[in-house]
Amino acid sequence: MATKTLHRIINGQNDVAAVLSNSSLCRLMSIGSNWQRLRVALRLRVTDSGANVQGSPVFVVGVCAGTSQPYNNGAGNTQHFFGCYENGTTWTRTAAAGGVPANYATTTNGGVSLRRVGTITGSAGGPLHYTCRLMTETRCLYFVDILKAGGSWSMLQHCKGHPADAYDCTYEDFIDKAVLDTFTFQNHGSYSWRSASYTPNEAANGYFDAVNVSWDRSNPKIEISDLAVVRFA
Amino acid sequence: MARSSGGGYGDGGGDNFDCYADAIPLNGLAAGTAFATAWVDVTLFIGIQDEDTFEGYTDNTGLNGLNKGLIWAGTWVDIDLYAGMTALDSFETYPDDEDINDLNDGTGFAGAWVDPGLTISS
Repeated sequence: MATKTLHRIINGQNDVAAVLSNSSLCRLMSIGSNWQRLRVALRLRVTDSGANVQGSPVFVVGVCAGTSQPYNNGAGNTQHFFGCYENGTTWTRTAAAGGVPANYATTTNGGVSLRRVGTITGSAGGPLHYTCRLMTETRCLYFVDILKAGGSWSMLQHCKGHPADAYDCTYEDFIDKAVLDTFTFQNHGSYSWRSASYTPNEAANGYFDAVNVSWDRSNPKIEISDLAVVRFA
Repeated sequence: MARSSGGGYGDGGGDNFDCYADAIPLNGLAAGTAFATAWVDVTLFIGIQDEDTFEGYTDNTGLNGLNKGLIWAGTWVDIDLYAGMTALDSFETYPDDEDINDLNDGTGFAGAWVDPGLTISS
């Protein structure tokens, strides 16, 4: 499927988003693979399917090697991917109420680190943290940090938790928070570093020089309003 | 800068500095009358120690290696931090209902967006 642009007017302002619909989007970074700690920062929202999303939906955010074989949950090969995966079996929908838009709790255990080489996928959990929540109607922040560390890489997720609220994150919010190490903001939080218990072999499988976002459903769609790459080290 | 009085009487003496050479430190100089010691000039250790107003530099020039200002012990050194936002695409410049593949706005990326058209559901 194709990832397409979508123009909306939100709170009186234009917003063009990249809309994932059973698709995988990637792009080479200017810094190549020359980084030690990197953040893939998104401002996003989801459309409202009107029901729970069942059957272990796959939403991944991270880095991949090159752009010809990004993360692909199907039969195709992935050259090399590392990032965050929302590992809930069901994204539980809460209907709109009291001015708060409908929203999905992706999992009660947050994202886990995910790697994929070829058709082989592995993940690692780590310390439990809170529900990750994606909103319809309003936009929220969703950041994934990746730390290359000696014997085991780690992943740190920053996202909206609970309770849900009606706050719509602005572009200014996005830029302000994207460069902070950790933050607490409008029911968003920075969770715990999660060790992947795994050291990607970039020399053998490809150096991580591209960002990659994938979503394996066409309903709901995921609308990415902004994407930034932030290098911390 | 300080100097001890000689403790005499009359006009009290003084130093009009006229006999000193131009642009030399005052510390240790001892002309004038009715002083018991030479001038002593010590560093205050407080206040502005080093300053550069940057006024003397050419417009739009990298600071690395430039060396104006007072009292610095070395030149400016400007290194890449290798940190901070390195790439950003807000997607605002793209038309509505367009395939993302090959779109190439934003900053800090080494290529256009790539959407291989994969159906990623298993």
